[in-house]
Amino acid sequence: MHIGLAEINAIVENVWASTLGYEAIPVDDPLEIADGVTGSVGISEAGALLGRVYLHCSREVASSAAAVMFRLDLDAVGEQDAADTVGELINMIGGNIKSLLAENSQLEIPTVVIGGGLVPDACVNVCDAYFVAEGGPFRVMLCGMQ
Amino acid sequence: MKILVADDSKAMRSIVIRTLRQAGYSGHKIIEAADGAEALGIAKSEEPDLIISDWNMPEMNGLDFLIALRAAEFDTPFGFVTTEASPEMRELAEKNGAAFLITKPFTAEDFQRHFDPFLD
Repeated sequence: MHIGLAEINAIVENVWASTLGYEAIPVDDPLEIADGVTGSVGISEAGALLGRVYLHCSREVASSAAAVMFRLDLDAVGEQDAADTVGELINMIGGNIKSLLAENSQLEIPTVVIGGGLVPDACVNVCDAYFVAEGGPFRVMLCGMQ
Repeated sequence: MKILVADDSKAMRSIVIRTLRQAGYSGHKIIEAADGAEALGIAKSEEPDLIISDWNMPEMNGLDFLIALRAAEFDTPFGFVTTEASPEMRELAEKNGAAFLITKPFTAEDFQRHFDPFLD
């Protein structure tokens, strides 16, 4: 699984601009994201997991995105709205990464965990990307397992 | 006109509906379904003018929904809005009677390009 920072940046910028209508700006240095929301989705081929993509963001980032997706005032966004939104965002990011991989690779069902930090599976290689957008910073990590 | 939007993600259904409005398709009745089986029932009873469906859904996926709809002799214009779009999926969609396959993320212009033949 050899997807680099440039590909991840382009995918994330496109997902944010098209789906949410505002910019996700890549930043070079790691940013602290405390007590956030983490979405992840696996990409497999012939039953073997090739890798997992993570989206880790603050609750503020998740809520800002959910407010756009569900056309709600920020105050009216609930925890489930924020979780659904992060699940859909990681689904799109994962799907776009998958499209750069083998034709017969498959995208698994996304999962979302509310609270805590990002605890990735055992990775053979990692591509870690940080962004700043409406609501604050967020992180997208591609954890390659082969 | 009636538009059926089938997606297991409430967030994505909301985005599709918002993008329909951004693309200028206002005043239509929007009906939502959370999986292919529910969508099939609604498609038969409501007879929408256009069906916009996700591919990967629980109970019945989008492709099986399309196949079942055509088997029941409904020729409703049908297209996919999906995260994945391999050449094999595009071929399957076309072979089974889908009019288009739009990948996520999408824009209002993408919708206009594909929906204009079917919607006012």
